[in-house]
Amino acid sequence: MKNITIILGLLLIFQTIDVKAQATDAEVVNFTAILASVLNLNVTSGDNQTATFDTPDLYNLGIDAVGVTTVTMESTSNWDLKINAADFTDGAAAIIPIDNLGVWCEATGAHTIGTEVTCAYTALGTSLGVTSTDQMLIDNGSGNGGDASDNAFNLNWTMGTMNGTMNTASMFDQLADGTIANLGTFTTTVNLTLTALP
Amino acid sequence: MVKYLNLILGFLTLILWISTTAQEIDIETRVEAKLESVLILNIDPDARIEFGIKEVNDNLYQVTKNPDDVNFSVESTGNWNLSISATDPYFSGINDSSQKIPVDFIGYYIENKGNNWDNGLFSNIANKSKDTLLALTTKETTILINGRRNNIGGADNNSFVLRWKFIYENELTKMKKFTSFQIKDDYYVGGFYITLSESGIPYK
Repeated sequence: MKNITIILGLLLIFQTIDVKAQATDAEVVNFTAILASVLNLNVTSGDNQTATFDTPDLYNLGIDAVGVTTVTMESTSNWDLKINAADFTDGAAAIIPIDNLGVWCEATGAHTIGTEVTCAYTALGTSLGVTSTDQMLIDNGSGNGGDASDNAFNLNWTMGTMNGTMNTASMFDQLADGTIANLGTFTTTVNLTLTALP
Repeated sequence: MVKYLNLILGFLTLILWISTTAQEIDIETRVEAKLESVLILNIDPDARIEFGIKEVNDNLYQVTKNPDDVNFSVESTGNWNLSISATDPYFSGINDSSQKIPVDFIGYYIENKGNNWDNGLFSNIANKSKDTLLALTTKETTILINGRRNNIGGADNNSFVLRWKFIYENELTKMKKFTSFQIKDDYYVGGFYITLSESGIPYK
């Protein structure tokens, strides 16, 4: 009993000392701002395109303006855009070589070609012939990170026009030499790949 | 405890770095190409056969007007055949329509001017009139047919000249017929059909 009384006495003394030493108090609130990487590619219109060849002129000279796909990019870092597609197919054995499809770019946002971005294909006459392997379509210039109002582009499609790096034979010639084995409806899927640059 | 926290932070940083460097987005655009059939004959719709003849002496005639050559071209996404026939069995006088001359008085051949070769069935086109003068007749005669290399193509590939000739110019025997017609001085005219059709022989 005597021992218990001593222990209780000591505890009371320690408590008293602790209470008397507590002059101030402080707590810390930590704020963390996380700026995560953002990379978005949006097709705002024209994700389905159709090229119809139904006159000799179109078979001879191609279709200058098949249609336009409008795209925007939102990126916290610099980026590039690559393009590829497989040959057109009719669902059977016949194909149309994919380099009959061409594309050229126009910048419609704040970032312009030749400054913030670069693109070697800026007119019908210099169209890029699409291939099955990735090709650079739009690259970083002086820094192209930004939102959709900065990075807005028209991708202008052309087919059979033999411009730029496109197939140099007319659609007629390719029908004649059997490269395109028959008439009909052919389809392909064009892949646009937006990559954040390190 | 601090050691474990450092380890977790390290992993998170590594994952963040990997995801940043490999960040890619793919979007697909579907493109459709419709290749529709085209079969077109380009020719002057008013083309006709017209010639003038004048008797200068007994059984001696002068040709006062030769029939005009006819340029034409074919544009086709498939193989094709072409045939020629006269619209009527006789040429009629322009001034005196009662004057008649049988259509086989005139012969014709087709000269190839295009890039598709007309060297026979193993080339692009087999030309029945190549190096041969064919007599005009009301019966539809197939002159050009596709060869093994096929005759698909535009006007650059399939460009021709249809040339008319008096039969008697090549065959002496026709001269007798020519003299026996008792042709009156006049200009004579006749029509002809050129029929273009898809070939039933897909040589591809």
